[in-house]
Amino acid sequence: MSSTISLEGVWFRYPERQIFADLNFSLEKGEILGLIGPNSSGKTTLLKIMAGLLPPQKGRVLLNGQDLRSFSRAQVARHIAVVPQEVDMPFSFTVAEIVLMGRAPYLKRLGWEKAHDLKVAQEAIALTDVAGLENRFFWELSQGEKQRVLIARALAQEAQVLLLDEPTSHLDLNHQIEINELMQRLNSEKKLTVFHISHDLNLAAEFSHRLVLLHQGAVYAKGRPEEVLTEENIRRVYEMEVVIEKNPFSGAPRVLAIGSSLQSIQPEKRTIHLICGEGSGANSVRRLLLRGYRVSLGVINIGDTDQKIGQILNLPMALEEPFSAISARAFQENQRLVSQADLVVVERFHIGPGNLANLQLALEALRKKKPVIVLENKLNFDFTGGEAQKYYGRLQEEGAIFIPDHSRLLEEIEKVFKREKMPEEARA
Amino acid sequence: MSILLLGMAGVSISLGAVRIPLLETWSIILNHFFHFHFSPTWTENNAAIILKIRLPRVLSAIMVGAALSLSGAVLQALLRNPLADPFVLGISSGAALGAVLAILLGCGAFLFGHYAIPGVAFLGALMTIFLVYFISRVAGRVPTQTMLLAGVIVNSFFSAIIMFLISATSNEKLHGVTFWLMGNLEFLSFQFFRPVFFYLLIGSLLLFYLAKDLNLLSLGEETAAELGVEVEKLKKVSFLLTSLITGAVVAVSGLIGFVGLIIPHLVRLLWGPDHRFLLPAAAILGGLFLAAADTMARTIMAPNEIPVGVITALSGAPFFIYLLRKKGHVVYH
Repeated sequence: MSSTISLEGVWFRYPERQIFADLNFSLEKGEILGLIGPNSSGKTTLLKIMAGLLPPQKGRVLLNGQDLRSFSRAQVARHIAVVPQEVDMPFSFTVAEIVLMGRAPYLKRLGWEKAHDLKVAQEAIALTDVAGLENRFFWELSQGEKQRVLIARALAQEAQVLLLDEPTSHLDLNHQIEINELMQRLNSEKKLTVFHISHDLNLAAEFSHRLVLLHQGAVYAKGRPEEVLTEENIRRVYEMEVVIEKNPFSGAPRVLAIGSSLQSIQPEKRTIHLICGEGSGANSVRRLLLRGYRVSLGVINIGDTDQKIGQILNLPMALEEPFSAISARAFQENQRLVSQADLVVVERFHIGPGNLANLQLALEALRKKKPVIVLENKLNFDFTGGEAQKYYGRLQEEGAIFIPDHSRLLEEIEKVFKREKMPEEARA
Repeated sequence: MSILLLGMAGVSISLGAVRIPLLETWSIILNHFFHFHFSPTWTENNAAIILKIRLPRVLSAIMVGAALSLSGAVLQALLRNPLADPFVLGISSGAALGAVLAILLGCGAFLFGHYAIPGVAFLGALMTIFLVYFISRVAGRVPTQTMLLAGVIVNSFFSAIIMFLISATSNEKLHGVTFWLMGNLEFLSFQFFRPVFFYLLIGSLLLFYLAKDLNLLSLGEETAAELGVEVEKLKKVSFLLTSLITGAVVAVSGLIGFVGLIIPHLVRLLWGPDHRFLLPAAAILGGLFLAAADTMARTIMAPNEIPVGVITALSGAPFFIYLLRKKGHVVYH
């Protein structure tokens, strides 16, 4: 790989504010690079410097190894195409006229577009899926269509490098994905080098080969998405608490926001064990993790949704083979997890002879003075001929806390821990 | 369209206080300039009217109309503002101030003789251009918003001075001033024809040459730069060129409103915003429109003349409103 655009020791300041001091940065040939960073970290300024629109006060910008200043604007436009965030147009140009303007760097002074230019524009229109809109006025289009037309214009420039400034910031989710997939396609089919600024960390991670995290005018981190999107990096740069998980479909890192400052989260050392299955644990897992609790699960069959979630989040689990009854080994493992936990929650799932042992364990925990919270089971859950019902009855008699739904889960857990604490304090 | 212009010119020349048949008109012109040999069926008097009075007048109207609507079209793209016209940057008030000074104080007469009014007006226009330009220049760049503001400010400042001068003097010269401010084509005789034509020809050819870049500039300065335009250079050059041609025609014709604002819009409404077509079309249509308006100004109340600016607004506005109602919703949003 060799770099197409690189910045060497770039200093840049607006009259009122210093942006970059000795910035080094490079865009490699053939890659999709996502630039992320909080507002006013200098993302758009960096893009403009790369496109030669803002000349740095010190340092050099190189295009294919040659100083950008040695190119004329038209020459730059044949190498680098910029897709702006928004275009406000006082006059009514049609889509076809807008796309054809991408040919401007190739036209002679008094020239009109020739057959070749029309062909290139047509290809760009086909690639970006705006065919059929050619004779519409640009301003009539939806945001997503406008964005695609601007990309078509950039393609008509036949540049090898595409710089996009937040191409999806005003779009609905489906259009966001469309534009990102288009970026990917252009990269793999047309071999374009793509640089895009993104405010959406998850999309950027999903669709970029490499990420660069900009912070206060300096490159804070760069590398593969999972190297850049770490809890530590986000905490420092965005000043907020996040959990990084993996997108179960693509494997790309995914950022879950928790709270805006470090103080709002009390680090919880307590562990909650969920007796669950059939995906019934997912809802609680999220709530508990976000509140800072540690979570363990069991007994779950391998392949169950709860098992997948547990695996992604790396939670301790007591597992059983797919579609098999709970074995003695799995039961013991679950017993171990329960004994390490401070509280047990029984989720709402169907109960048959195979997993009845889960309820048995809950009762056992209760008898060992472990607090147990049970979600009232509103399912037609009992496939054990009444056995399971009996367990629920006994749990209730012996003091388990029953709650109607998940909304009260955290509240009840906190109540339990508070009660536990009070006698300790009284003793002290 | 050029043919239409030519035909229109012929009709305009033949019309007037003294009516001269169309065929006769053309024969006189062709004989005189192109060495045709139609047998003269006309009086010497009529030939003199055609050649010395009507022809220069109609050609002047065409030139002035072309220059105004061409600069209007360019300035609207340059400032990305559909309300821009040749006078928006203060050129008019500069020229007007010069003219008013020349009329009221008689200054400049010793310099320019009977060219005093147009001469001083042209100087006024040029000085205003540079004033506006230097007011709005920041660190080597000329932001269009600042330029627009500077133009408006200079405009009102000069207008205030003009009002003050007019209210301070109460003599028979007042009529001349008012007439000039309303705009008319009387001043333009063959003496001024050549220099004005020269400015206009050079200016408009250079502007046509910039048409492609003006297309890109109307998408915004940054977009234009991304698509290969040297924006600051383009802005300086087209600003200077429009100012020169506007200054040149305003100096001899006074303030003729409406043409520079409306004709470019008319062309956009009819044929779209591509400047490679818009600029020449606006020039031709502007010339045509002003020639027609001036003919009406001469003939409606003949032998008295109505200021041509009155005609342009009276006839142009309803037509434009009609077009705006019919097609405006598609083009303006």
